[in-house]
Amino acid sequence: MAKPINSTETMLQAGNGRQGKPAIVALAGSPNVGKSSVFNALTGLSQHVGNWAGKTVEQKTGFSRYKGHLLQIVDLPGTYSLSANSPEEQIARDYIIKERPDVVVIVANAASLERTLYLLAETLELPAPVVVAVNMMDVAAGQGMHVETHVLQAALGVPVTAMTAAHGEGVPELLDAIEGLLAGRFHYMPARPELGPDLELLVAQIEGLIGEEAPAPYPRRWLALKLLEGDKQVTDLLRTRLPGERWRAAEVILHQHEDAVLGIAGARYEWIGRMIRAAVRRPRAGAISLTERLDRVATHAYAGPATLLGLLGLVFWLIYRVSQPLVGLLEGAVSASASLLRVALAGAPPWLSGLLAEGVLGGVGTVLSLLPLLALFFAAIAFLEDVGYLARGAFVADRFMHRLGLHGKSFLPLFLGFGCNVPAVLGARILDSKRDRLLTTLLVPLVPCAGRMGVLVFITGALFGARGPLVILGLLALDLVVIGLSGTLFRRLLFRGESPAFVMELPLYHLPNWRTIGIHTWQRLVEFVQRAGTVILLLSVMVWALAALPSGAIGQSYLAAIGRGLAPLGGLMGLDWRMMVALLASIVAKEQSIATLAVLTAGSGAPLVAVLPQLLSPAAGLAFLVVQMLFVPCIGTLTAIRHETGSWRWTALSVTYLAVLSFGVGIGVYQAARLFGLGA
Amino acid sequence: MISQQMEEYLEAIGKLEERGEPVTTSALAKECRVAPPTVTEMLHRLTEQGLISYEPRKEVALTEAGRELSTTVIRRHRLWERFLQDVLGLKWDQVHDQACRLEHATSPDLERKLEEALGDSATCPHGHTIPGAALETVAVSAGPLSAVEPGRSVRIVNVQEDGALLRQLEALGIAPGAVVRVEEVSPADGALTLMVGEQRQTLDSTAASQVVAAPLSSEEAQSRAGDAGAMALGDLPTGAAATVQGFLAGRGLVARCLALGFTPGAEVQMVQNLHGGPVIVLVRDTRVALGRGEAQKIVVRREVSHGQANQLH
Repeated sequence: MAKPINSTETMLQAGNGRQGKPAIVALAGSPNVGKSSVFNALTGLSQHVGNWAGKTVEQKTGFSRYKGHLLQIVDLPGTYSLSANSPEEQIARDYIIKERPDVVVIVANAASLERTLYLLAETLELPAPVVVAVNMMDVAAGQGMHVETHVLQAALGVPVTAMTAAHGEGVPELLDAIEGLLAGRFHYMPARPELGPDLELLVAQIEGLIGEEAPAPYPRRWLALKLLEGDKQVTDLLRTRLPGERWRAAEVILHQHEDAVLGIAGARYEWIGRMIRAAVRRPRAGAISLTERLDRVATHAYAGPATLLGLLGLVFWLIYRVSQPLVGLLEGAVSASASLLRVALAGAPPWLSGLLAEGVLGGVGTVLSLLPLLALFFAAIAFLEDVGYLARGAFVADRFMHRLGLHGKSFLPLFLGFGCNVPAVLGARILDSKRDRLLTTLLVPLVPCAGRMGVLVFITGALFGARGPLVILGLLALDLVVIGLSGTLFRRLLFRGESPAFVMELPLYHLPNWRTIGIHTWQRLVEFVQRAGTVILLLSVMVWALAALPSGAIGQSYLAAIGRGLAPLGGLMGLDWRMMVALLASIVAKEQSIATLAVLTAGSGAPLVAVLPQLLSPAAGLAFLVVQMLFVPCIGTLTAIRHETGSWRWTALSVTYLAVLSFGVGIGVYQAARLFGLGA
Repeated sequence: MISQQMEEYLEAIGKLEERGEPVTTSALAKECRVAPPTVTEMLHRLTEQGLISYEPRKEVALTEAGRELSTTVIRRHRLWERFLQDVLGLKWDQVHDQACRLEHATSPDLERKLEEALGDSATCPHGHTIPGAALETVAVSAGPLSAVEPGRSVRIVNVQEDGALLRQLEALGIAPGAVVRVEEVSPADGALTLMVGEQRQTLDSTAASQVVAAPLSSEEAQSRAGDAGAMALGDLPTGAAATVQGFLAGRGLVARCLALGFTPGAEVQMVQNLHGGPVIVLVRDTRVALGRGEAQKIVVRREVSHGQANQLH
């Protein structure tokens, strides 16, 4: 495959005069074509993860060296087309049109070549040198399919290479093709996607009306096509740019040919069909693929949900089984360092040792104890996504999540929220639309995590004895109702309008690519520590200060003062100031409620289990449980919400909603319970 | 002794009854192509034999013995028609006259042999039920094609055995089992404009009145290609294939579907369609999950393969 290099200098001279700078190679492709594997194979670990300017869409860049030359690889978001229907599509097309990368690599999936080349048909309308990387040749072979890349290359007039990036196969060939194109050694004669005489006439008419007014850097033909496709952004652009008369003439034509969008897409697919016809060898008809067999179970009416729950249960068990001992070790290490620190700071003022040992180290402890959990969680999700199961799970869950106005994929983070809300919030990222991500993020804190459940079980045990399990069941039922109603409320108030479409590709199953999963997990962990870690530390110090200052005793602290200030509110629920302080303390970590109550009631000399029934009537106890269950989440979760929504406003909204909701339901439960004679 | 002529009369009475037409002297005269006085004479002889009950100016009714004989003759006639077409390859406009002669010379043994040779044929080539066949078809609410409202699709049940009519229908592609759609009825002469498959045809009102058609079941109406035919993708049953026709959706969803390969003319196959909930569709080698609402917004036309078409008949 390797071609001789004529001149090692030419490559750097290509690329729009970027002498001395790396040539920019953009990776574009539909979802599920293994683009991440290609990116990882090209860049190794020299990756930088950030966000696209002004967007919450992840941007990954990296470098690759080939024959002494430096290539900067930019991973564009996975998109099926280049219309402006989502931020991802907008980013991909703006980058190709405005940033003018030296080469655009279209990554296609050999097992569904026709569909994954749709992006190529769109990209060839743009003035970008294109290389096609036909990836997942192994998956296609498993389906009995084979792609003759040299035949495809002859038909398309652009370099085409075969890859199985998951196994590192075809990487030198791709680099060689990129280099050959940059060096001008490839006879680049891209075929143009023809649309047929009727549509071409229409495009020519519109092009004529656009005339010389085509705003740079957009190609005129591309603008005409996008107008005919009804692209809102291009329509708005040309409405302001074209002289009124010409725009009105264009509008008349567009109005008459409203369905041109169907014809254009159809013609593109027809063109692709002609291009690939000779290059693709298909399997015998009637052969039953692995995906078909697995899907008979995974998407079955009954076996499907059972598989989903079974798999998620397994993930749940694995995460906590494996992370628990690690968390224990880390917490031990943190408390040991805290003791050491106290000894070392014995001479310093008590506030300083408190600040460092409790505030700072406490925050570090929170971050550290989350890491094993998050690592396993990210790895598990990446695994399910990589092998192709995630889409099936979403399909199965969509049946009932749909009723809550949620996307099927929301089920996964919400379910795993029972373990810990932090990864659940971070996991909302698997959702494709911003609306779904926000909605899921707002609902996650209503799922009682393991910490909350610990508190609930302890208190019901102390107050209701043998009837405790019944109370817990009742609480969980109430929680589900609250989640359902909250979902409806948010949808009605915050996300009015059409719910986004559930249109989702079910990719072919394939073996996991451990490298991709590993790199993904590592990047997300680093990101969490960098961005969320510092915020957790700061909040942790703040809450410590509130609880410890001014005197060092929590009973006289600012936190206690706030608790006393909230006593009138607590009175409506039969809760005294100590219970309110316990609730506030749960913002540090849910388990803190119990520890705080123990400190505040230490004066009585009896253990907390014995003190609680004196402190709380059954009605007040129920109210406290409900508030605890629905209350503002812990610092870790709050930070995650801030991180994922990218906005303090959404975070504040979440806090306010949960505070109002929990107290409201708490007051309702207390008053109702008193009516039923559970008071005093 | 029952003559061949008497059998012909009994057969004619049975067929008029089958069609639900009044069995009068004039109707019989028309059916047997003889003058009314001849009919009257024959009716008296049949009454004497105890095969019918008849009083002048009243309707003729078969007695039990007469009905048995009538049914036997009709069965033999139709079995012969089937045999002549299916086994000997005669055309459907030739079989009637031949069968008219053969039916009278058929012994019960020969009749049984015919039945065995024909397997489980339920109707004659013109769509009339063979009495006593294992699969007697009963067309509910069948009526003349001339009475079908424009815009409706119907299935042809049977046609009358008139040579000229049969030749005319054959040229138009109209035969029992065929589905036609009545496009319009001429207000001037009652001639029908029909869609037979993809072809537009006209049929005069006299011919149309000699063709019996039945409405399609609603399920069938949806699943038939070639008639109103367009249906929502979400209504396509598991395993069925269809081609995309268009969308009833906003631009956003349309753009998304188009990019995924749901272009007009694209072939799709329903992989899974349970009651409620999302569906899985195979399009361009890709499995795509669509919400119920989204699947209802994609219009498709179902493809009926030959295997399925035969099952429907």
